Amino acid sequence: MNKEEALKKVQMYDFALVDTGLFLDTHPDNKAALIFFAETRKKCKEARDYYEKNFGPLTCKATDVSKDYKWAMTKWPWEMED
Amino acid sequence: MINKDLYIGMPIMFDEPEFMTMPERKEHMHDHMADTQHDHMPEMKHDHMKEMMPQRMSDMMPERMEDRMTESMEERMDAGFDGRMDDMDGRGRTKMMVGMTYVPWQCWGKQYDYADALHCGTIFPELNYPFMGRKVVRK
Repeated sequence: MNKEEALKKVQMYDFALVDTGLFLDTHPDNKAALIFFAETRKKCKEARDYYEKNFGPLTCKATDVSKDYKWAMTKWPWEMED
Repeated sequence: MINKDLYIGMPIMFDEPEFMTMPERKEHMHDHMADTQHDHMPEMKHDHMKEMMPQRMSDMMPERMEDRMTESMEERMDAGFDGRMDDMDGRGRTKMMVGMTYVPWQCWGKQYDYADALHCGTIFPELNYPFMGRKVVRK
């Protein structure tokens, strides 16, 4: 999976999570929605982990600080387009 | 607790100066309930659903607001609640309240797959109404 595909996956699952969250705001005990939310959150985490492992941090909070501050050394959002 | 009744938005009125003048409270506001029973409401399948539904729009108003309702406002709100679009006043306008919104309770159904959902901006097919220039169409 290339970087664009990996980022698209993150966006997809992230969006579905937010939208399901909106539904759950008014239906907090809806079993089916809760199951969908849990599944989507798992997929979202996997997608984020895959992206960050292979292409660098998605947010500054997730950056690796073992040697230096990777977040500041990767491309800025406006530099992302090839 | 979550209120599963219809959500009814804040009424906005442009030509009801009485609203501003705080009329006296009417004593027997609901006396005429019996003869205005929802002729225009769809048949309810279950009796318990009937109980859950407010009988009249004005029954859902908070007390303080009800104090300030005039008869004509009440009539217009009930017309809107019952969907009586063809109910006109003397000046050929609908009696339904201007600026009144409602949101039926959404149920969990099918979802788009993740890629389609991101593309449409919703995971719920029942909420996908793309704007096509002049009107909204059902996807």
